[in-house]
Amino acid sequence: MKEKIPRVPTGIKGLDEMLGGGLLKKRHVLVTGGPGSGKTTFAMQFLYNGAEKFGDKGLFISLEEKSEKLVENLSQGFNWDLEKHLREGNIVITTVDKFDWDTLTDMLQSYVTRHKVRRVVIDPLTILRLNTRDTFEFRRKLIGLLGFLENLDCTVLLTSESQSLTREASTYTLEEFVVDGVIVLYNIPVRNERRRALEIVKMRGVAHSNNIYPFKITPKGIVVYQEEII
Amino acid sequence: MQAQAYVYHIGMHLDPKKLSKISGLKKVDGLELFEKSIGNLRIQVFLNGEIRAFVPGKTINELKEVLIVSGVKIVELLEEIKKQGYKFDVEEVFKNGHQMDFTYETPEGTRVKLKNEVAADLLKELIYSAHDIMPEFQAERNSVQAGENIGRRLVRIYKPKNTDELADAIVKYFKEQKIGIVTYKTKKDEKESNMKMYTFRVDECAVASGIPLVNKPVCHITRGLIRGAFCQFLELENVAVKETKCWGLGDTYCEFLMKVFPK
Repeated sequence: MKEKIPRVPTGIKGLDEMLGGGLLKKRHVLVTGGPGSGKTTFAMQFLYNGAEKFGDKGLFISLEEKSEKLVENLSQGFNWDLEKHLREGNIVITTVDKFDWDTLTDMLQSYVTRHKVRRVVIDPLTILRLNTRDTFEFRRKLIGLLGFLENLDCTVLLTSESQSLTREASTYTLEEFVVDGVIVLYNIPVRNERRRALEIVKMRGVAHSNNIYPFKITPKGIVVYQEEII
Repeated sequence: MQAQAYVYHIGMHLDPKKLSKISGLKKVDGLELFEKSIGNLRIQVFLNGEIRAFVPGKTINELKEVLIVSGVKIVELLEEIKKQGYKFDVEEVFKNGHQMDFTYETPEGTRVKLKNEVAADLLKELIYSAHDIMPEFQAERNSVQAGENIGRRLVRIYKPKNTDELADAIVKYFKEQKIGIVTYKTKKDEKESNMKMYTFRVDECAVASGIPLVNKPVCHITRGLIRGAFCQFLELENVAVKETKCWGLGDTYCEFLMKVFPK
């Protein structure tokens, strides 16, 4: 019998249950959503929980925000001791000079092979797409990068921006086809308020839940409520 | 890798003294290689009688279009070479011009000082044959990793006290290994990190000398080496090294820009 691929729990309450235990190890998952949908929080929580609960070193490559600003924002709203993990080197937040693919890959390679980073976040992938000559080149480089990371011992979470509020209205992006999994974060207007919801659209090799569940961003981070409906 | 160049073979060894008499054909500094530019079209004449034509940044199909108009210039050059006392059929040579195969052989005249003191062909074979058996991206990463390992080791071996001494160690390593002749210059990065930026020039590079245009830099091992050395010395990872000039891009030497970027 074929050996089961180990799981990498996100530590996000409700989500790991939807995934049957967590993400598949050494795979790459895209978290997509509109502005303010919670992508960066989701990504950082994946790293924070990794360091805090599972002893995994994490690397956050922030292509949009400067590291200090990102830490400042995340330290304000959550009861996370992010500073401790940054100080101890369990989590590294960095940017990449002018979004250059070579530098990005050089850094990833160093962190994974030398610093034994096991969880990687690239936030957002959209910036890399905008800084690549054309779609063909972007696809070629992305497939190359993901294939390369698959051979290293790390699980990768990528974020990307989508323009529409609902799945039906959105155009499928190239990266959604290339990655192993896609998690969509919604921020939908319901009557006079917006409600957050999450859906696992694709997760190769995982029998996952197909429902759309509401979630909230609490001081502990994202919590998915499987018992509620949107 | 696919060469994006056309090649014409005269089929005999050429004398550099005779080539230097041809008007418009310029000797490349430090090498026994001759060049002529017609607009964007570059023509290189090697001592082994090989003539390469290419346009940096253009694919072979785009080059073919250029050659429809500028092919006559190659015929004129062949005529000029013939006038120096060589016996060959100009029309035949021109007619047999074809897309060049990617080659990792080091043509005579491209490593004038270092020649084959290091087994450059073997080194190239080891590096480029990886492209035959694994995806291009993986092959490149393999070279970067090898370079980075060497670079980090240099810091432990030479024990530099500052970044200039580290740059000197890189120069020394290339000299000792006979893999290239390195010179460097520095400039302060006043915009971003306020640290020194280094530009390394590698002449007679063992990895790239003589390879045809492929429209991308190929010295991943050197890029990795420079980055690895600076990362190890500075105890930082936010070091960017970009290969800005390379034989693979149509240049006749390689150049690398190293800078530390803010986190």
